[in-house]
Amino acid sequence: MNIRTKYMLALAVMATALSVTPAWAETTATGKYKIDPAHTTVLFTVSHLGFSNLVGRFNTVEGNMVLEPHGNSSVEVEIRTASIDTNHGKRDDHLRSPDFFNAKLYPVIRFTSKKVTYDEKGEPVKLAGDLTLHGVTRPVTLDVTPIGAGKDPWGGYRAGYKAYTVIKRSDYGMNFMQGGIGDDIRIDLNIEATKL
Amino acid sequence: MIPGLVIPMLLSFGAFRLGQRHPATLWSLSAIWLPSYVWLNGWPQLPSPEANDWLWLVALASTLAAALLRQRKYGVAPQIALLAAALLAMVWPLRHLVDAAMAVELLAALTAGSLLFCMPAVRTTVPALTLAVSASGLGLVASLGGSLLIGQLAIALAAVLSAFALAELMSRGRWRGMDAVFLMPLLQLYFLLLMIARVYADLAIGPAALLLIAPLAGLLMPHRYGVLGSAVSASAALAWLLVTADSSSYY
Repeated sequence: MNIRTKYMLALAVMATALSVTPAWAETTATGKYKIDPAHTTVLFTVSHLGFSNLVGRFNTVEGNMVLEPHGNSSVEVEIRTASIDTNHGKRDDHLRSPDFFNAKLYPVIRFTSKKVTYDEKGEPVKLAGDLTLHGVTRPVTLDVTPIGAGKDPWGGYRAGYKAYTVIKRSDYGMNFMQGGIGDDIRIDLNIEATKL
Repeated sequence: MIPGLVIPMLLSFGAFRLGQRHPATLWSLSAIWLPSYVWLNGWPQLPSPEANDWLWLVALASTLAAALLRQRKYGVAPQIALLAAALLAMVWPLRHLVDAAMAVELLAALTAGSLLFCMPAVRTTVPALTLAVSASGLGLVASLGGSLLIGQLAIALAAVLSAFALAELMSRGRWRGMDAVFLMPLLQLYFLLLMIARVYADLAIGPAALLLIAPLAGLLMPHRYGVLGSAVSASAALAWLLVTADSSSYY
């Protein structure tokens, strides 16, 4: 085999090796994602008597995302109402009662996105959709900030976002103890999703 | 305090004074509970899957049924049917969660109510005081044990009877102005509030059972000793809750 043949053979081998792209080398964000409950938190903040802010969370969250950069991305999140956790068992029971969330009657809080707004760099900044809470569905818009995206050590691809919005609980029929507990509820989400 | 206690008490005294001259005023007992109900629960959003939003309808329908009973029309069947329908409607949104135990509890509530409706004459001479004591017990237990809203509605129910209860207490049973038939709408509300607290706010079974017995024990016992039966049962429910529940405050 002359040098030229060896040279051509080496080039062919290299081209073949480079064309076989293993899954862990995936670099595109486009695609379907499943929200990772272990790395996703949903927090809410509400005023108590105007003296302080109470922070609570919902511990059971699941959902899906479809990411199409500059395109029609979508998010659907479901939260189990009964998973509310304010670090006080008796208060959590009260919050699950008909006085507030009525968790038995309305077991799921759901957000379904409708539109994503991007900035000039192509990053999502607003997420508009419908929030169903306490049996009432109303449009909400969340402010979105991408945190990061990329390969994880186990061969998968992950993307993370944080988002927040402020709603009025009275808009969702939750009017009890308006004098003592604030009407404005700030909702903060930190979401991590794994690409399917 | 104001919607749950002050307003219904003031209206109660007004109804009592008016009722002495115009007995038909006593039909307004469930109606004078409604301002407290609206203040505490808010205007009901109809149609609504929430049982609280239909209590006003039960109150008015029961008043109509009691009026028919007084006219000796249809007997107690409308009251029993109303209670059965209300309990079924209350639990319908959770029908997928209904098991044998819950069915037994609903049947027990229906049986207790039916028993009281069917009694030809209430035996106690202090029926208003007896029901007020039971409703007060329900108010305290529900407030501490699951739902402050249900508790306040029950306290308002007791306050509606306050003037009549006071008259019975001070006359030592000699005043018999309160016919048991006028109590039927309030009894309907009592049983419904109790079952809403049990089903939706997870009120413990022990206190709930004692509160189910309270009006029975009181209204079916002779003379004024009936109120002791109600008081013992309601107090036992409260004590049970205080002993077993988490006592830490978060208000």
